[in-house]
Amino acid sequence: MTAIVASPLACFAEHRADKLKRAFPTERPVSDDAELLQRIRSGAPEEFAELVRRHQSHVYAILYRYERDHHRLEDLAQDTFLKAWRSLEQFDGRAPFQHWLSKIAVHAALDHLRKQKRSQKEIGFPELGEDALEWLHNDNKQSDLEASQAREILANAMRKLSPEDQLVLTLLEIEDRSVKEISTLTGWTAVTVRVRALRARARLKKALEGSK
Amino acid sequence: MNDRKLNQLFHAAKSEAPAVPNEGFAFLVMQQIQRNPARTELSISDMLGNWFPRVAVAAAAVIAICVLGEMVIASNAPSLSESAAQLSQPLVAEN
Repeated sequence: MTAIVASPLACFAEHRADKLKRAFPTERPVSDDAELLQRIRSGAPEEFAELVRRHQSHVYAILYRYERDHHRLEDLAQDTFLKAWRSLEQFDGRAPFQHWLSKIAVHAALDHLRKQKRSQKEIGFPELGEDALEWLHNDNKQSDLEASQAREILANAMRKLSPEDQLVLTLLEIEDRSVKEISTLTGWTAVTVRVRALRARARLKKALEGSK
Repeated sequence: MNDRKLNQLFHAAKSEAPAVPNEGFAFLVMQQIQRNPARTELSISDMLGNWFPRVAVAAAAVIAICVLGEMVIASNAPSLSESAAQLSQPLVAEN
């Protein structure tokens, strides 16, 4: 991570950011999202920067589960905000702006997983450490796996699943979202979410068993 | 692979600290927007989509009012055949 921050590309991005910061000053009275949206619609597009600042951490928190590379994650997050900007007219204000943005982020994540799946060849399990392999082999092993190793095992197994399976398991099992929430975010019915989650879990187990 | 182990993997994923955006992220987004500022205006189908539930309810209400009105009028007023017979009676009597 430190290598990324210190890279010339990052310095260039920071320099550009400083330039833009002067163009879009941040010091302004605090107002709610609805007020900001009203101002954007009445011809003040620069106010969108404030909306981005408010919700960027939330969007990152959704997207980082699907993309671990920092630069690609940044692209994905930018893409999410661009989509939001382009379809701002469709936001009717019946739900909070953050809910609407979450839906866009989840769909961006699903599109990203689909693109990755298309370009991805058959994945084998890359070299897992001896501890991880032993843990996978032995069902009765009581010792705990290191968190980073566990995450690596899970990420590799998840990549073997379909994008929809990856999404539903991430939302349900990792983010602890309810079926209703997932249904709202994805546009799938509650029954579809439940069935898909059940099947995805079974497929994940199979993928993990195949990796032994 | 038992459920306990699977849950252990999910638990490890849950505990991962989220990635944090760079300081200038909002400005990079604004830069992208400046390059391509086009915002989709609402198309007719979008507007119809937004208005459809309200228009549908209003149309159903109008239809219901018309049907009820017709039923009330029909129950109080004489039937059409009776009225026609009444009108034609003098003409029949003349001939």
